Amino acid sequence: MADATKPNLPGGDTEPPSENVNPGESVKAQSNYLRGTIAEGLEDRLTGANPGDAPLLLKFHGTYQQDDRDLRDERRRQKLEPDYQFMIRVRLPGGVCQPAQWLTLDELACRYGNGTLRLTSRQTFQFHGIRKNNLKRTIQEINAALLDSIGACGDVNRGVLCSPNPAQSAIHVGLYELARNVSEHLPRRKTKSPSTDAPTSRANLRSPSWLLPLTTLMSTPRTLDS
Amino acid sequence: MAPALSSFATPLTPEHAQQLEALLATLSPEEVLWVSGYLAGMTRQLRPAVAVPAAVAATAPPLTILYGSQTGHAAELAKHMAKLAQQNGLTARAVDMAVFRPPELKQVRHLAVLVSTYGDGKPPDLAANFYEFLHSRKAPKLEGVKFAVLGLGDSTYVNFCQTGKDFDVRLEALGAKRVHERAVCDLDYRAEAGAWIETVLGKFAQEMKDGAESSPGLRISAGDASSVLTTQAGSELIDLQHPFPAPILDSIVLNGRGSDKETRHIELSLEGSGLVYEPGDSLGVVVENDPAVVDELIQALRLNPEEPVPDGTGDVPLATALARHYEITTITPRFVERYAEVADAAQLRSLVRPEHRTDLFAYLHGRHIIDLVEEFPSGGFDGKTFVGMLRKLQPRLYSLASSPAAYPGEAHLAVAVVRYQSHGRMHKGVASGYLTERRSNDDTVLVYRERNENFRLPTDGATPIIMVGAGTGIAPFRAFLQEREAVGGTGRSWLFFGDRRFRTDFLYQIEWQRFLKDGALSRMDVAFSRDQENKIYVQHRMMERGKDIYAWLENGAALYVCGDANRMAPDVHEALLAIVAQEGQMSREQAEEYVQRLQQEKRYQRDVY
Repeated sequence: MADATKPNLPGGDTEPPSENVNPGESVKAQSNYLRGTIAEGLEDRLTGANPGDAPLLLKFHGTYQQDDRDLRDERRRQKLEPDYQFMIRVRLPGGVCQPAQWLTLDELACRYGNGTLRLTSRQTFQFHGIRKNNLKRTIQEINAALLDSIGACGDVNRGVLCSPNPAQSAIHVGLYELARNVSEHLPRRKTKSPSTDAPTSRANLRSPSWLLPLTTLMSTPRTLDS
Repeated sequence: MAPALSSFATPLTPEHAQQLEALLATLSPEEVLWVSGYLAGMTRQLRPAVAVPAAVAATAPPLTILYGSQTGHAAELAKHMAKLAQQNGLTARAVDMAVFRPPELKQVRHLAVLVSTYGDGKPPDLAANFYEFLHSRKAPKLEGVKFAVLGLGDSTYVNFCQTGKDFDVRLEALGAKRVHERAVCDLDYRAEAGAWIETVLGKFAQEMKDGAESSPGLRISAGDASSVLTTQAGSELIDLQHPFPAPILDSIVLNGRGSDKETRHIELSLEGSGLVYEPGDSLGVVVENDPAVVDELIQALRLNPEEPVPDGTGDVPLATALARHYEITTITPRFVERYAEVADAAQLRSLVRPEHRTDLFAYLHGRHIIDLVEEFPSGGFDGKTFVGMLRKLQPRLYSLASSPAAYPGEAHLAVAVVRYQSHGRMHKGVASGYLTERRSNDDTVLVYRERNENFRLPTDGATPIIMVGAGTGIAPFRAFLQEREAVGGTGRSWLFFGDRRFRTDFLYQIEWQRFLKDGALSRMDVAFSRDQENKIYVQHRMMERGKDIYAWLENGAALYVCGDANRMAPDVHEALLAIVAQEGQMSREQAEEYVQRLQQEKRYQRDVY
């Protein structure tokens, strides 16, 4: 039996997974880089859920599948499935976000979500109540605002917190830089995000002119590097 | 225990009756059975000597009673008419227009046509072929033919009894001669149809016996057509005249919270009724009106609720009559005419004139009798006059949503609750209000089986089936799949369902998901009209799947459509023609022929209302 304390080294380990490993691990391993049946599940018009292993994999794309618990019994008696909906969490290292981006998120929350936008102790935004048929669209529009939800859920680093007040500390800028780099270094490697049609490489996204340069707040602007 | 022979009239002499009775008393059941078979064999040889004035009947061509029926009413009447004719010494045969070979029309000399009208003035599906033939250039000249037409329909439709009228006019145009005026019967047709049949048979009898010994004043003895139902072969004890009080087991709302529709799933117990039905049948429900509406009408017309008025058999207090025996909601043109007279309402009188037909129906839309009465109040009524303007209260039919194989002793229904605000008042459907507001669990509801031989699963359980339903039109397909699952049918199945919103109106969602998982259902497509900018309906999904649908049809699949007659059914029909034309690479005419053939092979069946 393999030693469960031995770390699995990326790219080099050829040992089969130990029986002690969480079953979710084999799901991930066989998921074709976290794609799984997500795409087909999105097309399934007969259920508001994304069935099978998709909910697990969707977490890595920053979204949780949920249902309205209060309605469960009532809907079962109505011969209806649970009221499935999705939560999306934005990846926002250090909690830094432009006013225009906030406005976009607000608009999305009203259009596709349940009209609330939550700020949590994870120092980021969460949408609730997104319907499966709007999931892809919502994430795409988040991406269009130069934000993403990559790795915001699941058993990965979900976010990097950093004290937000630049007026209080001179080293805030440097710390923010560190937070951002840590956040961008850690998310899983992949070539394409299956939840959008465009590569996540932000080199392909051009900065809208309305994005305020961050120089007014901190020394290093948020650049569009690959 | 059979009554003594001597206690009823027989053609036997008293001595013979006594002898026979004595003999029968000594025989065992098996022996009696054998003797009856023996005697039956004997009579077969004796028949020529026992024949009724067949001399006449043999020389005259038989009376052909052609019927065009959808849910069986016209068929039933036609068979009753044929039987009655035979009983009175006339040779007659009732023939379904769907199987009647048009070339045979040339041989017909005496023709009765009994036909229903569907939806917006069209003939029933199975009669469409013959209808088109008769109206085409291929129709033969009918000089020397005598005919009479009876139409069945619903006067709340603009094109009331249109098909009956069309046949009447066309037959005359082809040179045939009427022996009697055409009858246009409304939903409460039994008495009128019975009388027409008697009169018409009398006229035909005279025609057919012309030349031979004529019997002036030949009277056909019958009863009215309501006796038909109780004498069906293999008759059931439960029928319209003898409905069964079925207790309500459960009544569930099928729509999710937030829906703007209300559909109820109602489960009834048939324990102890002996009632057996088949998937595809409907359940007839005897309903009662809303007492609040009865009160409002009585007040508005200043009537006396105790006044004795006729209810069809005797007299009952007005309030009871309005609650149980007459339609007091939907307005018919006939009502408007009569009301206009008594109320002396010039505006209404003008509205019923033929040239204002469209205006009339525009006025009637969204209005019930109470609206009209309040708009044109009148004190000139008594209860008797008022009920004389009303149609008899009809039972409501609901396609059964369960299979007895899966739920023995039960009947499930999917009932769309009709409730809408218009002209300043809440209007409710009679049956849906009765079932959902005035009856609850354990209360009983009077029900009977309404057969539908034209909406049946294929006899071969391996035949693939495609089912298309919208809203409560999904009901019989629940029965179909339950049946197939219970009985072990292996054929593939494909269901198309449409409604308003996925989240709240996906009727029976978890049941379809289970059928798919277990394999009783192979494929399902859904269309929710209000979930996106543009309205998507079942016919759009069908068009998307055209290639596969055509492949299934070519593989022998049977197609079923259930739902609204006015919009959904015609749209689905169009989609079907378009699919066949495109995928089969045919012209429109060829596609129509293809679809007609499907109909004739019973592979395109519709339950539309």
